[in-house]
Amino acid sequence: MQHSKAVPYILPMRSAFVEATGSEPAFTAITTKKCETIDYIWYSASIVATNDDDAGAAEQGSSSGTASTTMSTSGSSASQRQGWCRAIAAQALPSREELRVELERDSDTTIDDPNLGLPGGSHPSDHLPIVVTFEL
Amino acid sequence: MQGLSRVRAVLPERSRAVQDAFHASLSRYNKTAEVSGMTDRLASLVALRPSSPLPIAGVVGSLSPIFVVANTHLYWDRTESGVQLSQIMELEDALERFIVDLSLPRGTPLFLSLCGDFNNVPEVSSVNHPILASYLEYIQWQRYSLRSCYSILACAVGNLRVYAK
Repeated sequence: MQHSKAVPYILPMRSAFVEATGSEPAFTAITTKKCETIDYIWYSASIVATNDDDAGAAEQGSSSGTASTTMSTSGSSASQRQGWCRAIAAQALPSREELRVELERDSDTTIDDPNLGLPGGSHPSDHLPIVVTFEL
Repeated sequence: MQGLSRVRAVLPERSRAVQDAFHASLSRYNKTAEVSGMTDRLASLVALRPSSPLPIAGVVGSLSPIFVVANTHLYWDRTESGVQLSQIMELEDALERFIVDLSLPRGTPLFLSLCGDFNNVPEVSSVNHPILASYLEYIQWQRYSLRSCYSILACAVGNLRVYAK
């Protein structure tokens, strides 16, 4: 493969939800059998670079003795290469108790915890949507 | 399927049992096209451009950014590491081609998001499958500054390097 001109150089992805709230959601999918976090929003914000930029970055990385710099920064453009976008907020997800209250109200019956699961109520899927706000 | 060669590259360092487990899973992936869910997964890739100039603060002379968003749903069984890794690596290759084809000029701020149902949980300790663990180890060895190393999937894509044709 010939690399005449580099296009983007993509940084390692970060979890937008973790960046916005400090942790992944307690759960993103809940059925009567399982309750777990399996849905994610990963992102990176980089600047399209060239092979020359890349080589410079690699050189700087080896001279400073930290492999991490080979992927993220290149001299004066370091501040431009990352952080031009960040996750600042996440839409709150319902707790198990909130879901139970909603589903009981919806079905007019009592739901034991082991029987708590989606879909139901206002949730058409057994997964909950995760929504994150980014700031440029 | 270029990505698979990278996984195969680290396998010889692993035990025979690890290699066998991976190849068994990979074989199931290749041979079971009729098995619903294992090979009928899709990913959607979109590239968005602001309709009016949108300079990025702090990026001198920046062009308007491009937002690439990919969404997918990996096979449900997280012990089928060959299947999940195959899926994410195909997506990685597709993403690379997709972004290269955009022919973005140097200096373009590029936002890339990968989201969806990865059918993997965040806790590293839950990655007790030898293939997943060894791949995670491989990725960490390559890029040990990863902040989100618990997701082998995001890590795989996070290592993506894209060059113009």
